[in-house]
Amino acid sequence: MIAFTIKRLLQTVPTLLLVAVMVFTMIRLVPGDPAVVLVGDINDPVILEEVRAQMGLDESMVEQFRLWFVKVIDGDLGVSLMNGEEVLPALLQRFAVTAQVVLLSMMFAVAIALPTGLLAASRHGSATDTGIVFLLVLSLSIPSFWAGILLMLVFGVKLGWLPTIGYVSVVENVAAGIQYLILPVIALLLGEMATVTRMMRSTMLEVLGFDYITHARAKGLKESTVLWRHAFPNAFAPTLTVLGLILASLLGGAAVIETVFTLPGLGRFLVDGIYARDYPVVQGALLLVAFIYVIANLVVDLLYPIFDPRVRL
Amino acid sequence: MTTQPEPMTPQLRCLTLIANLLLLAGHATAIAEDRHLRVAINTDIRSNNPGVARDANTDTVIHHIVESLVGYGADLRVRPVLADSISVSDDGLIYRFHIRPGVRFHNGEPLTAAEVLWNWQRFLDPETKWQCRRWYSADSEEPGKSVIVDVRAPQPDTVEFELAEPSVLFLDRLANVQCPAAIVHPDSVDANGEWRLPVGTGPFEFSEWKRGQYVELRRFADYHTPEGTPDGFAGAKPVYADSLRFIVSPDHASTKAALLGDGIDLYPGVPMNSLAELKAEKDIALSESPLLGWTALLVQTEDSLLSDPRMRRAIAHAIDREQIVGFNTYGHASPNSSAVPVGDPAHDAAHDAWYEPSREKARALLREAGYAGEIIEIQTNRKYSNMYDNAVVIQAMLHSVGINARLQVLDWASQLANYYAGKFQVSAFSFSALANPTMRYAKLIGPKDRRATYQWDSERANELLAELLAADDPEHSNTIYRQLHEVMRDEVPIIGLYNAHSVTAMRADVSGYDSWPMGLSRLWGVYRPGWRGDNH
Amino acid sequence: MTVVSNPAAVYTTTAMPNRRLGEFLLAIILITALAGSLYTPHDPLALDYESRLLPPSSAHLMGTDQFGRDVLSRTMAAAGTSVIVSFFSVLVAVSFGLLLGSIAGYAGGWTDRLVGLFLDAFMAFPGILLALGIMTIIGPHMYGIVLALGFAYMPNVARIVRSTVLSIREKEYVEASKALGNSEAFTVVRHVIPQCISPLTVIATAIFGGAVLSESALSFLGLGVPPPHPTWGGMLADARQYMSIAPWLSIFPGVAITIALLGVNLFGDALRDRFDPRLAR
Repeated sequence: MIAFTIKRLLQTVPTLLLVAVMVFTMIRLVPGDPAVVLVGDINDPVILEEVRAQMGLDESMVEQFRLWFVKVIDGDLGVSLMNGEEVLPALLQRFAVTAQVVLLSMMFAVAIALPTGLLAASRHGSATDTGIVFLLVLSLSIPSFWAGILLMLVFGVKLGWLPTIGYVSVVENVAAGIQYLILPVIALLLGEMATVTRMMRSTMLEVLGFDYITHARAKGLKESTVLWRHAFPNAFAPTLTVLGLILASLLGGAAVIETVFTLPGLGRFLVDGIYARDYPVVQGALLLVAFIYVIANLVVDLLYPIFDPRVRL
Repeated sequence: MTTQPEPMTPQLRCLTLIANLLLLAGHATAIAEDRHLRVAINTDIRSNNPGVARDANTDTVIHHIVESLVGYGADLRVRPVLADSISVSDDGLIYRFHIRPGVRFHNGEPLTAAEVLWNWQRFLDPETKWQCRRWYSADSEEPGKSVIVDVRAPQPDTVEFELAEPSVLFLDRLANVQCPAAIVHPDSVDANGEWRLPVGTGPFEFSEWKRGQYVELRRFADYHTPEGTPDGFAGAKPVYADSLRFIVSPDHASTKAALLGDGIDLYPGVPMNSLAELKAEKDIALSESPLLGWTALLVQTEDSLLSDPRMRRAIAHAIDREQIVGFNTYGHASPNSSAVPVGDPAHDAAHDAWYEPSREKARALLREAGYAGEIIEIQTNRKYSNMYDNAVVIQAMLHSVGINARLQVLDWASQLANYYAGKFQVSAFSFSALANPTMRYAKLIGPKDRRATYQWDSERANELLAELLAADDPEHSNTIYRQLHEVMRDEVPIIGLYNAHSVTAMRADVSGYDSWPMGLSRLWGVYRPGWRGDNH
Repeated sequence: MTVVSNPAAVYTTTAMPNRRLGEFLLAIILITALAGSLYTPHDPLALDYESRLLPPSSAHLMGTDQFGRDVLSRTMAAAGTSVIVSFFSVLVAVSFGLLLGSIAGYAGGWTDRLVGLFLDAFMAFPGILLALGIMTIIGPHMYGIVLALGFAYMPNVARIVRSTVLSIREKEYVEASKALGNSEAFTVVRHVIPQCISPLTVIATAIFGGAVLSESALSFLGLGVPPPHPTWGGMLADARQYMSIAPWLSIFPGVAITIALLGVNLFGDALRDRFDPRLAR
């Protein structure tokens, strides 16, 4: 397993390299540069040129890439061109915020989705099943930013129960921190829950059709034992893959939800970076996003055999 | 300042107990540490280094921390701030500032001429990367530049600037909001000259910056406020709040929700399209003032189609400025096509002359110019809803006179880059506030082959500008402003739309906040019930 | 950008009522899209200063927006835009995904690894940068958003095609086709691609739904289909400023998105049932 992990980690290197080149080129192909954003309203082209030179933007692209890449290999992602902040610690800090929201909502989503999926599958074709499926599809069909705004309007503004703006880290103050997390977690939860439940339901249906389940039932085992002990472990493995994919894409930034709830997360950091053409931030953030994606997939692959003994690494 | 704690009397102990009980009961909301104001800013600040890495939000925050020798008063004239008197020699070359006694830096050190000299050495050193060094340095091509030959301190409380030639803009430049010539203590930099944090003289000191979240300032206890009443960035600066927190909130709808949900106290720069909604809320008060910023439609006079002045006049006739103001600002703006803002004393009736909205005249001019349905692209962006809304309305107006106008929605950085490169046909744009119309004209007029940001490149305009930069008497300047507008009306190098109003929305129990034409929020003088008259 | 992570993985069987509902809703959306391109009660782009922010009435069934434009007409016109954008996004995703996936699956070896690397990089690339990049390179047109969404979903398609191709590459009839002397290209087109059709149909439906959602999310971030084309996402984004004084502005496009997605998702589930023999019981 260790050999497998090392091999997989080595395989990620070319992916990250390609991402680095792609993002470096892409962000520079987009018109506008950080100097324009920075001196914009001073309305003076001469100052603009000066700032461009200070930022090293007058170097050739290859040279700029070389300078950046040499530092990246040393573990230095540079500093933000907008506020001089060190990119790496900033990224980790923002990532922690995103991870809190995403992991919390994922935990709740899974806690709700597994029994619900099981229930729907065990009553396949019944009114309960139809109703659950309908509700799932409905919650998948509501845009998350829209849900976020509505939640904010109801619980933040009309009822005044929860804060709508700002952020307090749970590390600093647990009670306050949780208050700031509730609404974004719920807004993200809806879609995640629906996806996971649907996946769970369909794999359960598939597993319930296998012979060994029929055998187990024939032996006179309790239905709940059959579902949880015999069917569930096998049905969970494919669901795990979906979980991994959702986690990977959300950890890489839930930009829209972070914007709605003003959370200083990775997604907003990246979007702000793109709008401000903050090259080091965008490049660093993209590398981190790609890295998270690769790691999340690796973790899923490592966990898979635990749930599905047919698979060996 | 620390005082010896007095031994508690039984009565005092009893009172303390009662106070604590009240606090537990949740009634003690007005205790000292709750004198806290939460203000929304829509992007994080860029730095705390004045004039080096900045944007409008950074300016807003920094002006609470630092002060300059001079600053704009509410009437947009330059007033002394750290100075208490200014005198100019007859030849206009020597400016002498007498430093106001009693001013202290946040580290407790008194302000003397020595610190002013240190700061100017720092500003003029290219290594500092101060963005407006060019205005004062001999090696620049800045029109009407104010080249400083020498800065000296004839007395410990007096500073003298010697200029290479007279400059009508020198004091305005010193008072400039974007590049404040902020006087900070040398402790603001470390031993290697690297910036640490602003040790200024302002009514608030820098306290904490959680990047991407908030900037917090605390009251500077030893702030020595000038006499009189608050006056723009000058005048008295009474402070009632113990701390200010500028909360980063990039999304306008979220900011509005936070204000309604009591998550913030003040929301400056409310977009015009939110006004209708906020006005309907009884817990919310609005403070409004005409703004010096100028919202305009840029027209590329080099464009093959638009180089014909008849085309540009047709566009001017097609646009109904009153209706744009009605649609997009709910009347919270003053239609204005002159570069002299409506709020400026120099803006008289002559500046109101412009093309009346008329579809017939627009169509006639189009025919005359031989327009045959070519596409005209209007650049705009979604970051600034006013520019976006203007573009939408203008597209419809142009469409209705038969101009094949299309919207080109870019992201702001792209549109701005196009502005700097002159790459646009028509662009819905907005210029930030400039206190002096001469500065505005100097940014507008000039040869496009030297600077693509010049919007107006004509012989008549260039001549008038040269005359303006030499004019040292306000009446003479006003005459030239009028002439310039007349020529602008004829040549239509740019179609000014309006001077927007600056609107700040706040919780209804917040008092003492005033919007002003520069737009930047000032939070000194702002208080809530119970903050004034006791202890402070 | 909200990209449905792995649309193909959404296996479900659906009971009749849900399938019927799905077909019904999808029909409504398609009919509206078609009707909206031929006729709308008012000009969806015409400004009317006198009738701004009017609540729903007999003259304007869904009220008017901040520019006095008729919301019903805009919602109808937007149906067309959304359907077109989503349809072409699917087309882009499927064509490029099919190409890359079958090349990778059929050729194997280092070609497969290279394509895999490319797909990994693409998947790890956030849709917003892709959208911004493409929009600014080819200009802010509807095609920009189509390409951006298409490329964002393309890796999903490519992976499914690749695994399908891998599983049938060694099958007898493929071997037989090769043995008969048919060219590689002929074999792929004649025997391999048809096998991909059923999973592709399912994933295409899922992408279609995902594209509707992603377009609205992009519009929300200011990168959607450029106006004056109305889109539901763009209408929602604009409506946020008027949420409490003109809720109808937010409700109708929001409901339209939800109906469209509900229809597409329910229909997609029904398709899945039909094409997945393991679940056909």
